[in-house]
Amino acid sequence: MKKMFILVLLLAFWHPGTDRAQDGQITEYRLKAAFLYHFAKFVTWPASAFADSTEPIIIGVIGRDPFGRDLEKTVAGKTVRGRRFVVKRFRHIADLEFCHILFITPSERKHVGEILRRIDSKSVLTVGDTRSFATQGVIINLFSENYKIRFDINAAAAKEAGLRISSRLLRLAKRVQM
Amino acid sequence: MKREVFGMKHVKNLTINKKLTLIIMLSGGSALLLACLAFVLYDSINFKYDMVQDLQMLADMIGTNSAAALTFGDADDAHEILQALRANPHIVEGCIYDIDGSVFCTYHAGSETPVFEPLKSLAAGYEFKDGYLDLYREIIFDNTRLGMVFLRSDMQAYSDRVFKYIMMIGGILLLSSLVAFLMAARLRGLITGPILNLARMAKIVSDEQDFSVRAEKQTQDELGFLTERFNDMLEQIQDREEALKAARDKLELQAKKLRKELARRKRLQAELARAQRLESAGRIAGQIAHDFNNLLGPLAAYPTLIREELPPGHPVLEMVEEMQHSANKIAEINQQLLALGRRGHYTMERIDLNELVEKVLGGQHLPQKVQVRKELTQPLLPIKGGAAQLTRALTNLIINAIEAMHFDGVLTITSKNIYLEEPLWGYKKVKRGEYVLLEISDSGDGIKPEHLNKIFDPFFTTKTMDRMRGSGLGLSIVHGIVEDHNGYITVKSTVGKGTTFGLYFPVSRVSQNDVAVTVEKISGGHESILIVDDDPIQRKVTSQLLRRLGYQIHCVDSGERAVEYVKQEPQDLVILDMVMDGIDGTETYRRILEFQPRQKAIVLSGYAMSKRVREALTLGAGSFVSKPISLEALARAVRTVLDKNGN
Repeated sequence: MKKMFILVLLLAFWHPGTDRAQDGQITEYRLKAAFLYHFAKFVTWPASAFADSTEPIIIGVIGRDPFGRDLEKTVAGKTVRGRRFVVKRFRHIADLEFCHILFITPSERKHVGEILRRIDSKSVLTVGDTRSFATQGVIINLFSENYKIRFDINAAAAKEAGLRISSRLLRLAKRVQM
Repeated sequence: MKREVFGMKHVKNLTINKKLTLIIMLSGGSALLLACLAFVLYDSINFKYDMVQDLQMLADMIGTNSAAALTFGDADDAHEILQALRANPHIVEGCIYDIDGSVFCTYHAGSETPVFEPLKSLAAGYEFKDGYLDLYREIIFDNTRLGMVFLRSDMQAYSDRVFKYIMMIGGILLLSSLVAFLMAARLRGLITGPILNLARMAKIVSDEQDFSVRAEKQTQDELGFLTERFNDMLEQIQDREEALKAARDKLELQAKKLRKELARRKRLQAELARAQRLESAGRIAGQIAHDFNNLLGPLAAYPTLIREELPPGHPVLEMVEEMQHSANKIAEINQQLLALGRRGHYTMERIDLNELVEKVLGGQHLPQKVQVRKELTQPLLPIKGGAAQLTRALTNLIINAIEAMHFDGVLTITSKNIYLEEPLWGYKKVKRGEYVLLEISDSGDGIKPEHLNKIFDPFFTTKTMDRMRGSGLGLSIVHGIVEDHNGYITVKSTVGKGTTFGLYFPVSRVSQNDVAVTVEKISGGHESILIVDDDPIQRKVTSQLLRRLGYQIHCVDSGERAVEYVKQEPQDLVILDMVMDGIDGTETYRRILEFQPRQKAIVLSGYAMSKRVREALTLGAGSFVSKPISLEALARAVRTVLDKNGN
């Protein structure tokens, strides 16, 4: 328990883009897990997305899970605007349930269109890390550049999903598709 | 210190107008300056606070904007955000620290890159230091502290503002001083007006000594009060001035009275001195005349006897005649002297002065060149007086006039009946009544004013030439004669034009019988007569005169002997000299009357009616005969007394 708390602290004070990214201890998907958590801070869901004010933010992962336990470790005990996090995993499209943030793993490269249709623009922040995703309608698409993780934002898709993305996040995006 | 005193003194010597202006300017200026300073102080504090506020806001904005950059570790984006600070030229440095206190991103306005040290603690706050404002501000996002923003601003805006204020205050002070000066120039009149008015009044009062002026009360304030008190004071001064003036007038009046009184006393003193002078002169003259009278006795009496002893046609007769004439003249001069002494015996009779004037002019040998003008009023009222004395007075005046004209000119003699009421020249007062005025005017040299007071003094004379040398008695005698007649004498004279003497005699209404002169034949008798005289010559002359008339004459040389003799040999008549060694005539007569109460007596005297003579007459003496004795007068007196009843 004490060990976990220290890890949480570490994660909480970990900043991407520092030398610590290269020390090998921190894997790519640990960083991406942190990104997912941070995105929640800069995105506002419509009120209909939550049943009440205490309902947790549900992070879903579809396809072959690259995070392992890192995602749970990242969000454990964290809250954003008073909401805790819940992580759900979906192996197939058929398993897909409502979630607030949906990470589409590279394994679902061919089913993006289907997944997006299945979501049907329902207040879901879709995040991917596959190069082609951004143009296909995924809202935030992560990529690596100069040993840094960066992202593009599809603002039109976000708007369609009824999400408001903070301008501060928008200005960090490499490309913003309107 | 000395300079300050001098400065203060300098200020004290300023006019009230300048002082008021100075006070208004100084107080107004300092109040305004204080207000401005307070305002600037307040504003600068406020401005600093605002600066901090503004900088905090800026820092917050940067913090908020860079929250995502910090979250995602995007230093480039944070750098970009910090570049926005270029819009504010006063921000010289800026820095974003991460949650560890490490430098995340920096900004600098100048070309020199400053060195930023990692923060030891993430404490927010601000500090004014070395002309800069340093501000640390936390970056908080979603209740989570992400890091710190540091901003450094220069104080240029502040110093610009302070400079602007200094300029503004200077301008305001200058402008308001000008306005205050102009207003003071207009309004100080409210205070200085009444004061200057008062000062002007005070100057008028002191310059013109006019205490009747009053200052106009212009205001109801303290100055109005002062003006009222000033007026009250003036009123008091005026009252006092008037009281003083009244007292002064009173004093002057008293002084005037005193001066008058003093003058009166002086005049009285002078008159007294003059009277004493006249009296002593008269006494001396009288003394001499008395002696002369006795000596003159034989000279006057003997020629008559001698003439009878000599046969008619005897050559000596003429000489005797001449002697008698001379003796008469001497006797007359003697009478003048006696008249001066007022001891001469006057035979008072009724006199018409016109007749007297004619007689005197007729008897006077007048020089040919002298023209006589007579203006005699007819009829002239009579007066009572001694013809011989009046003749002498008139003669003296005419001679004086002729001499004053150097025997050439006009002599005017005027007579008038007048009524006197007003005092005359030289007299304090006159007795009112009818007077006869006789004026003797000449066209001669006139009398110098300084001599006018002295001309009636005995022995005063201006005639120094041998030929005309006077005795100095002439006018003095005239004066005495006029006074003996209860008259007045005046003199008016103008040097070079002439002199007028005026003689005023009271009119006499007494009946003529009273002074009738009966001329009888001298008759003698055989009665026994005792002659009492201490002077042997007088005894001899008198006894010889009376013996010739047939009387029994016996002589004694003193009163005492006379008394003894009459006791032995009773006499029909005693002729007593009044003034003798031992007892006088009156005393002798009184003693004789003790045993011979019906004793008849005649008193002889060289003096006019003296007190002692009058006493003798009261005792019963029948008559008084003045010396020098004329045979006729004595004989007549002797006969008259002897013939009186009772013997």
